[in-house]
Amino acid sequence: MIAACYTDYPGMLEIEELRKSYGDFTAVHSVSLRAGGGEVFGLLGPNGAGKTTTIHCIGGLLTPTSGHIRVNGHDVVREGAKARASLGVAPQEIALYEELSAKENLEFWGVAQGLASSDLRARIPEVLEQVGLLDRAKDPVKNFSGGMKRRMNFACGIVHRPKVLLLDEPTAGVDPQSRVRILELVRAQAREGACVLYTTHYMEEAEALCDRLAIVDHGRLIAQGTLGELRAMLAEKDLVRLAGSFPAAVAALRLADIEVLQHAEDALSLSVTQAAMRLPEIFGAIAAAGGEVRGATVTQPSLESLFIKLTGKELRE
Amino acid sequence: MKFLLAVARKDLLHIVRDPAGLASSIGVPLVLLVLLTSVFGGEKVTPKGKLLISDEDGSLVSRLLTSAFSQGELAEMIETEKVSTADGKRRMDGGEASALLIVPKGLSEAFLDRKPFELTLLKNPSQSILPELVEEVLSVFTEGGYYIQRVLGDELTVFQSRPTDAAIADISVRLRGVGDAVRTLADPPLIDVKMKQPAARQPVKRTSFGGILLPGMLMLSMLFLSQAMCAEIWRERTKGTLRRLAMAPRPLAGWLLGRVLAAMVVLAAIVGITLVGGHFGLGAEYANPVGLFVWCVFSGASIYLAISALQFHASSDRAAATFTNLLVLPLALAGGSMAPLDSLPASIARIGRLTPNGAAVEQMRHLMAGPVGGDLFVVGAALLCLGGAGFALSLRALRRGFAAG
Repeated sequence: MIAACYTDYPGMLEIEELRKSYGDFTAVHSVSLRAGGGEVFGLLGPNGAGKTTTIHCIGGLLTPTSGHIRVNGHDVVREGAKARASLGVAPQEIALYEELSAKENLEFWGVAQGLASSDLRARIPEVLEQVGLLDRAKDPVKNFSGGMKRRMNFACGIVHRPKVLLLDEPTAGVDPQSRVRILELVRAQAREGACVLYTTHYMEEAEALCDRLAIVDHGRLIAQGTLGELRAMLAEKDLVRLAGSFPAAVAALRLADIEVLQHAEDALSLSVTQAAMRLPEIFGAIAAAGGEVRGATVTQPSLESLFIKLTGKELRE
Repeated sequence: MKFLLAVARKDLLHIVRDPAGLASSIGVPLVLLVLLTSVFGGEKVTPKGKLLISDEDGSLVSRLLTSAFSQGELAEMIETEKVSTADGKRRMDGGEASALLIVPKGLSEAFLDRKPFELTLLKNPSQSILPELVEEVLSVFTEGGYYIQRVLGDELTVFQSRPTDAAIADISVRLRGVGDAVRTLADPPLIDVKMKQPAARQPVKRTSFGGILLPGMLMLSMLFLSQAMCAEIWRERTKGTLRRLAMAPRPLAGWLLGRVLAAMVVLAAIVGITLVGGHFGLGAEYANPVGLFVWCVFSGASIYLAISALQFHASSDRAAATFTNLLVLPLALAGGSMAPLDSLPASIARIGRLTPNGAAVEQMRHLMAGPVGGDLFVVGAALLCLGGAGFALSLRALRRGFAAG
């Protein structure tokens, strides 16, 4: 577990030893991270890992049991309103008023974020243009497709040009075109200087988008760094996923430079150097241990293989 | 302020674009009004009032007069109770009866000597039907008494002393013969009924049957409307908009106040339409229309805030809906929304007057009938406390994690 791993980024968002408990249950254990302006910081983890709880603590929805969170230099507990004024949020759910039009939604959320009327009037068409909904400005949101609603959800989070943008799985359940568009929008926000905290369980998204990443599981931060730093933790090993029948003896296999990451009766994941060259050796060892291989997939070192290596399970479990 | 107005605008736009909830809030009481009108036209529902009688004369004539209210169908509508004048006035001040009839000493002598005489009837201004009924009945009997006096005056003098059985039998036979003669007489009666009501509540506006039901039905509309609008609180929570709002810099109190403002605008519209419709469509009369309008909106807002607080403290949206349903209907029934409190059994009416909606409806009736009494301010203060408590409890729940979900 990594308790703290600060980088040279100026701290637009600073979390120190964040802990959130509900009675005996601790949802977040001593999480520390720092992200700066112009950076997309990925927070990866499976459902229930503590990502949303962390976001809710940053947004002031939940009061941390211990630790400190500062947004743009303001403590979220002691200077809540000031901290929240620098925040923009695109929550996991489509948090919009569906009977209201796209423009009316932006007007409402702009006022809620403290944007002045004159700024708001100029900003609304600009944001609608960015998310590709300018021609639908007067349509009620309830008539939008799922992908359009997602983009609108994002638009309401950026209407006031936030310094820190919290995106909680903003591409959940959207079509590929909308996903690409949202990822472009996130990059644009970072280019404009916003600090983006991006939670997802899509590894490919995180790899494509994030400058730095933190992996959380069971409320603990288990790895943090740039994509390169994290890949290095795998020592350039490939991920080999096997399907078939694997008795307990297979889990105890001891082969040079091969590590068993995950074992089940019908599935086996291995971390292997130059896997393509060593597959015959692996199949032979499994057969000798009483197992049977019916299918195999070899993946280059990735966040997914790192996650499996660190947690012993797949991210979507 | 800008945020408060933005919240109110958003809520009003939502109502305008999805008016189903609003329509049912108005439609259900309208249907009930029609149904109740039909039921009240039937035979089984009879309003029952209490008539206090202070018989200071204590003569046969006064007993004949006062016993008239305990006869036949009248006895089903009016419950009489003999009281002293002082006790009767005290109980009228407490609003415990529909009317107090005072028969002063000297009725018998005046009746037998064919001299003018005055009875006193004190009416309860908060009731509309039953005091009118007592007044009408009394008028009929005084007129009847006058005609008896004119036709049988000589024969009746026998009652000035204790009559023998033979004298009574003789008078009975003569009564048969003069029955038709009374129709030919048309002079004004000598016995007059003097009507009295508390000076502060004069003048009293008389209203139609629909007008009598109107305050209760309006309150029912406001209860349903409040319930429908409060359900939006849970909708905002489950949709995540409330959570998103809690992460914005504006205070949640602004959101709550904006909702109250929107509710008051809708209530004002409903009250305005209902009062105008009631006047032109049902013949309802309003002695103090502006005061009545303000009172209706104010009491509706207080009740809205109380229902809001209940919603915020429910464990789920279903629990909130069930809880408010279980509360609103009994409140409406006991609080005189389905039928005027005067017509309910005394025990239920007593409870009904203590409910916020029942107390508010009573004051609506007072405002319709005439100038306000001191109890308007007492009930107003109680409703203000209720609304204030509702707001404080709602805000506390919001800040303590309701918004976070």
